[in-house]
Amino acid sequence: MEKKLTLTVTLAAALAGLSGCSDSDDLEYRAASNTRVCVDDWGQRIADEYCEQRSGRVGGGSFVYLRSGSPIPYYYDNVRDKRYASFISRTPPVGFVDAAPAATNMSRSSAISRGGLGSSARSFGRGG
Amino acid sequence: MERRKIRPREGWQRIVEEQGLVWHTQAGKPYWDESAAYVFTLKQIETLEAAAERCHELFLKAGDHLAKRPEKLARFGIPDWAIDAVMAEWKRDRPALDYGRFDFGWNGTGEPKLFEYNCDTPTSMLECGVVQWQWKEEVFPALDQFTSLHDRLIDRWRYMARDLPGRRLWVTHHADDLHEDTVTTTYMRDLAEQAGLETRGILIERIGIDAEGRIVDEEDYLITALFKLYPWEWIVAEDYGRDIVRRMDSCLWLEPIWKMLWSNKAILPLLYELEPRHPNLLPAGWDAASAGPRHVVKPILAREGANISIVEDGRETARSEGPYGAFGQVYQGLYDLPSFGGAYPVLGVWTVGGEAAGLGIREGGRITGDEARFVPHIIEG
Repeated sequence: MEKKLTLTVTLAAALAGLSGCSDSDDLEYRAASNTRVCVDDWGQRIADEYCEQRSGRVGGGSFVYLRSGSPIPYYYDNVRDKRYASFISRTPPVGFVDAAPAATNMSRSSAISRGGLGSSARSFGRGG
Repeated sequence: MERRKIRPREGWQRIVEEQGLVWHTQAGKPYWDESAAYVFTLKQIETLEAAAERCHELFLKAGDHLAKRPEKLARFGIPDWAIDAVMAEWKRDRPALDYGRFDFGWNGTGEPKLFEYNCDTPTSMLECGVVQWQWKEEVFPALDQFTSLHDRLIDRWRYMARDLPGRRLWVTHHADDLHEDTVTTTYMRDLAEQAGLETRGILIERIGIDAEGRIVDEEDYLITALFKLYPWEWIVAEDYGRDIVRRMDSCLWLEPIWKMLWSNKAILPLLYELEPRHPNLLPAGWDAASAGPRHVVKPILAREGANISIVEDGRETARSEGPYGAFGQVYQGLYDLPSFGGAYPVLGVWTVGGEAAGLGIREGGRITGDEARFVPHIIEG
């Protein structure tokens, strides 16, 4: 039975021609179809449950709609940002509307510093 | 238990490289060594499985003991300000992979004897989980091997997936020259993705911290679940250590900070104190007398067999150098590793969630250092 590997073999092939590597990925998601996201009064994206006015839900948000091809905001990204201007509408489009992919359900902050980890590896070398 | 010489596959370097093992040769010598294989009976494998699972139970018992007697942590080298967090996380029992590698000495008879438990940043995972299995399938397709690590880790990620916010996992490591850590963490991403998680890699040097002390990735997204191939004792000693410990609630750390208890050789004297008649333990203590006239001196925090010495009847008979000399040290009774023409195997038995999950064999001198070779195995009879 073959053990399935995708990332590992791709990386290994890439390493054959590299002396160092970065794992950085492009994190931007784009809507594959009309997509709704829940926002608060200030335009910040929040969890969909704030827009689903069912019993026991907290409420407080309203849905906005992004056309296919729009970048999808992460939690606390503001949909009033110019990146979304040409894609956004407050009116539901005709036809099917998707929820935002689960992969975009995360929050953004702002780093005040970087590089505060990793120094021991330079002193001690290899790990476990 | 037998060591059998075998003809390596034609072009084995290219074969294992394609499977991810790009560090197959080190300093001109094979690290992945398929010119030999160890052969075990099924009964012997069952003995190893039982030993590892019994040891896992003992480590659980030791953790509970430390939770009641935290003063015993004074010799673990954990900063005073981090001890409360370590014990709080132990009691909180948040989701963990709970994986690791028990290193045993054994000659195939009697009970395997535990040297240590590598469970914070265990390596040789790809070799054990994939490379030796593919080798077995090609060279000995009719035989079996003690290797379920790959599938058990996928199952474990699947089991934990609902506890990861957004089913998302960040994976971090230090970019080492051999690319061993890079490939090992990428392999872990592969396993997590097969379990339905979305993963993202970040070099540990590029992690940032926000004004509230929470860690963020390169694009300032809050890291909510992080698999790290980077030891906790290093993290707490570095600039972000205090913030990370203070904001432990903002991220699910894998493995958890309580692995500082288990991966620390200071636990060896405690294990022996708790169960001196345990079939898999060697005598261990904080002085030479407690370990007997033939013993090994080990730093409590060290890697790759560094800074170890073997003492026999008052005379040092083997010694390894390294950068860990400043830490405290423990004394453990000497187990005479079997010698196969000068090759001394240490048997690394993996467990996931307390269940035995595979065997990886490292072969070196009397002290198993970073020059040791990985030799595959088969089950016959």
